[in-house]
Amino acid sequence: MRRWPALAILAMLAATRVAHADRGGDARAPDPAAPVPPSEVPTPPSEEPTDPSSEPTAPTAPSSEPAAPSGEPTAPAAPSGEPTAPAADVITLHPRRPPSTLRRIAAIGAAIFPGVFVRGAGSYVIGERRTAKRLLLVGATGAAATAIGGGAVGASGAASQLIWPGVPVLLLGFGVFMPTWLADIWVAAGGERVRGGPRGTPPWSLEVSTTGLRDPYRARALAGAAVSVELGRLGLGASTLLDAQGESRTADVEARLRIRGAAATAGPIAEGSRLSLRAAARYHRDDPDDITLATAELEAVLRGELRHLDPRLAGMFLELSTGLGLERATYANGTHDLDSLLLGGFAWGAYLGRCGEAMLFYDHRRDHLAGGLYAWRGSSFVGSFGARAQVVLTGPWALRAELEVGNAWVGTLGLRYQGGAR
Amino acid sequence: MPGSARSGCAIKEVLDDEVLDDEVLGEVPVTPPRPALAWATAAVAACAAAACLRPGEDRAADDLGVGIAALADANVQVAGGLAAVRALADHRLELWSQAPALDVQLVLLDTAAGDWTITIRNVLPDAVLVTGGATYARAPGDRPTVATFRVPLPAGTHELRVGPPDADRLESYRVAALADIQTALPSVHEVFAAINAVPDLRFVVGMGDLTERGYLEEYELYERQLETLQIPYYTTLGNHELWSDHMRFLDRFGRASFQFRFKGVAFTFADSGDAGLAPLVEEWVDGWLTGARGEPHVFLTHIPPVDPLGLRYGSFRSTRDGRRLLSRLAAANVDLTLYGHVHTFVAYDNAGIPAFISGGGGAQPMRLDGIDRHFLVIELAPLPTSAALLAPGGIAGVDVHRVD
Repeated sequence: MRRWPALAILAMLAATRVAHADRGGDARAPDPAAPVPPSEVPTPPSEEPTDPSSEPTAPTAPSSEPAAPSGEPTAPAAPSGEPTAPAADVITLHPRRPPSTLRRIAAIGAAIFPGVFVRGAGSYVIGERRTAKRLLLVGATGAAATAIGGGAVGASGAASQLIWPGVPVLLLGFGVFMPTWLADIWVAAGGERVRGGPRGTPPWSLEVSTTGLRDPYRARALAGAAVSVELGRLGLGASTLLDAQGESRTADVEARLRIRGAAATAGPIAEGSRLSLRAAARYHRDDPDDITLATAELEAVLRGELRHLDPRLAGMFLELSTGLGLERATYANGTHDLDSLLLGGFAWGAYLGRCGEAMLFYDHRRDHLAGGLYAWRGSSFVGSFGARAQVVLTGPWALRAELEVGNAWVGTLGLRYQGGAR
Repeated sequence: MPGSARSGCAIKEVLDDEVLDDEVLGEVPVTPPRPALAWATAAVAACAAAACLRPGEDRAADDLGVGIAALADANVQVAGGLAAVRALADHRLELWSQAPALDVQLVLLDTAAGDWTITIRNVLPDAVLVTGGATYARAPGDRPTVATFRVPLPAGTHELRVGPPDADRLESYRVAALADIQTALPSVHEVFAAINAVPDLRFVVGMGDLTERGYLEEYELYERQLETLQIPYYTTLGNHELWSDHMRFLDRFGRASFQFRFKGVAFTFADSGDAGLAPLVEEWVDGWLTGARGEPHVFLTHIPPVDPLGLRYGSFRSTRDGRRLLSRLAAANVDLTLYGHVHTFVAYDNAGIPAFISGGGGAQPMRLDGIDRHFLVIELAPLPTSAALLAPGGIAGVDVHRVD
């Protein structure tokens, strides 16, 4: 656990804690009154202690990275026995005097540049050298994968035989490379103060939403509805999106198989890492365009909490996904085309306390509402970017807001009732 | 913390929950974060910086200025913008043609009347100029694709037609198709030599990417290389022409989106250089499709609306936009679609229309596909022939000619 092999990042993200949660069958936040098992206590970083001269410590802490006391502090017991923040979130926040404003600004600047090329620059400036080193290693691993995948595709002139797995490797590599940049900025900016933690997938949910679409040709308002239910390791969902003018309609069904990760539960959980397989089918009809699309797809989706990489990255996560699909298009003259789809994407996100989460994401597909971004020289090779936030409003009610920018701007606001939520 | 408060789930509560850390930190203050505001600001800034929904709009508008020029005492307008006006000076007009036949209106005041020297570049070798019922043959001495006419023009409005005598005669003929020259500009004369060696070709149609970066030197080299080609080359632009100012292309060669007819076959070129059609171009295409309904029709654009290898996404930015275009082409009974962008050769159907990707102009070739530099030879049969009966729709055949 002390020295993370860079190449083990993906395995690490879904590793021991998920397995532990699986064995226990419940990854909800631990009872704060219960003793923390030794295996759950992260080893305090000591391999590269922070330079004392550059990072003065609090008077109560003789060293910058003090060893955890035997009675590892945990969250205070909630009077009602409600789950609280997981122990890991608390004990990894070692006492430390905050940096000066000037240093904070310098760290943010360094995280942006040269951090865009040299991962961990912001963490280094803020005094988190171990975090900086790990971000650098993981970022370099992502960059190497990007270069390998991109190199294979580019050098072959996008040869059919190398598109897969070349592009997925490129995407996954970039999906590791980019989040490390954002994570470094987050650390430099003091994002750890948010102290976020994951929430479980609700046992069932209902959502109504409204979507605004503006593409080069038109603007549309759409109304959506979705239902989702979790049955053990299997999750089922269905949704529809209808144009307010009746010009287009979309229906989706999907099944999700949870391979690793917390079971469906209400409220906060201790471990948000998860791995799932998603199979989905979609029907889309657009009257003015005179096209009907039927899509089938299969995708693997991994979420990894970055605290496994370094405790200072607690509260952040990355998501990677890859998959394949088939799209059958029916045209005005009744003819059909059947084409393959490459699915893939990545996201970096942060938990908003225990309220929910927000993420920035990239989606490589071009067949959805957003399509691919106009990217000057990179046009036709780039998918869409977006931001998504899900926040619990009160009780079982949650809000989902999303903005995706590709060939079109797509903004969605959804109100969700989360069954089983407390 | 009460359970009800927990379910309310506010950031502040979480910070309260971390009172332990406050105690440990002593005097260290904990500033309540405002993540929602930060996220919203970041998202809006990123999106605003990145998003441009109508990237080809200005270029399409600039198309409308092609083929028009004026002096104090003379002005010229090329129908359909099918030629770039390279020079309009004292009794001299020079055009770069983007079609086998041009209709040019020349309006002259008294001071501009007289003998005019009209030079048409990128023209069919057998083109003549007809105006006022008189036919003018080209002056001797020029290359096959450069025609110079000396025409006496009095003051007034003149309708000039430049083209071969058989331009409107319905009969079979052959053309070549080529795309994606890019870094191979220094050696593209070898491809042109191979095209010259194919007998009876009337002209070459191009699906873009003449240059690698749209540099002026590249355009100059392209023109010098074209001097080795015995027939004209009519082309739209590709994404690589957009690496520099698109006006370099428009000023030299004419519109990026245009349509012409030759011997009963319609050719529609659409600018998809930024992986989509600008709304204005889409409107034009709709009109051109309607106007050519019932005629043999060839549609050309640089980027395939939908990549036949979907995984690659060498296609329009939005697959749905690509499919909308295909649906309209299918509804208009387009007979053949030609694309470039992907540096290989692929024959397939899209929306039931025969489609060819031919990116064999010499740009970095796709490996492992068994084909390098190549071009297509297309036999067009506007009237029924035995071959056309076998392949209805005016396309009698498409052959691949390898250069390497």
